[in-house]
Amino acid sequence: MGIIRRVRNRGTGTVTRDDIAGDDLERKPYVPRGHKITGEKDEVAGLVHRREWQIKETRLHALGSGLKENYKAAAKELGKSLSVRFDALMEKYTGVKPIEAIRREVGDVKLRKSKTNIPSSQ
Amino acid sequence: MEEGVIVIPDVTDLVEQHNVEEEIYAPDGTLLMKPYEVIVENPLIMNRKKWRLFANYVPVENHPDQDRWIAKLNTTGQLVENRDVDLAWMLYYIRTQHPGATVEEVVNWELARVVEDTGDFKDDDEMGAYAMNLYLGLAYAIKYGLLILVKD
Repeated sequence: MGIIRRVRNRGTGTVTRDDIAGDDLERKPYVPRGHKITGEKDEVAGLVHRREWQIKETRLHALGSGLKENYKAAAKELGKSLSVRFDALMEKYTGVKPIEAIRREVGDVKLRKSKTNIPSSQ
Repeated sequence: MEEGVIVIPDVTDLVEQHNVEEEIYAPDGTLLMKPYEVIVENPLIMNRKKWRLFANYVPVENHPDQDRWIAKLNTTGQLVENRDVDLAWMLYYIRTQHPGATVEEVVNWELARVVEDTGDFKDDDEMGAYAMNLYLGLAYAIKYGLLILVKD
C-alpha cells in the first residue's frame, strides 16, 4: 500500500469495559500506542455502566509505519532483483573461479567496503 | 592481541596476499568452498538456496572504529575476532534479524545493503566479485564456528 493511502485508511477499533456501580468511571481506557480516542458511549443498565470508546490510529503513526513498510518492501524488492541477477550470472559463470572473480575486481570491492556503513555490533 | 584468539582477516586482504586456502571445510567435514576451482566445485554457492545458517556466538567486544568485532562461541567458548565488515553485517543479520536464513538470503541482504550504501555495481563482474567475497566470508565464519550450517 502506498504511504498516502496508508495515512488515509488509518486503523480504527473499539475498546469496551463494564464498570459496576460506576466506581471506576474516572479510569481511562487502554489505548494502543499511536492511537487516540475519537468517541465515547456509556450505556447504564442497573448498576452496570457498559462503556465503549472508538479509537483511531494517529496520522503520525500511520505515516511512520507506512514509511517503514515501504522501506522494507523496497529493500526486499532490491534483494529479489539482485538474486535474479546473480542466478543469471551463475549460469554465465560456469568456468569462473571465485578467487579469480574477486582478484579481477579487488580494487573496486575494497573501495566499496571502505565506503560502506559499519555495524556497531555483529 | 590475546593468545588463543582466532582471527578472521578482511577477505580482500586474504585474496591480495594470496592467503586464501585451497579448500575450506565446516567443522563437521562438509566441504564449503574450493575457491581456486570453478563454481560447481563450491558447494556453499551451489547449495545457496538450501543451506541455512544459525549464529553460534555472543558478541564480546565491538570496535567498529577499528573494524574489529570479537565474539565468543557458544559451543566451545573459543574467542574469534572478525575483521571483515561485510561478514560483521551478515553475522548481525543472521543473529538478530533472520536466524535460519538460507545462504542466498544472507548474501542478497548484504548485497542490497551495500547497494543502498554505496550505489549500484558498475557491471555484473563487479557484483559477481562482491558476491564471491561474501561467500568466502561466510565460509570462514562457518569454518571457525561463528555460524552453524544446517543442510536441509
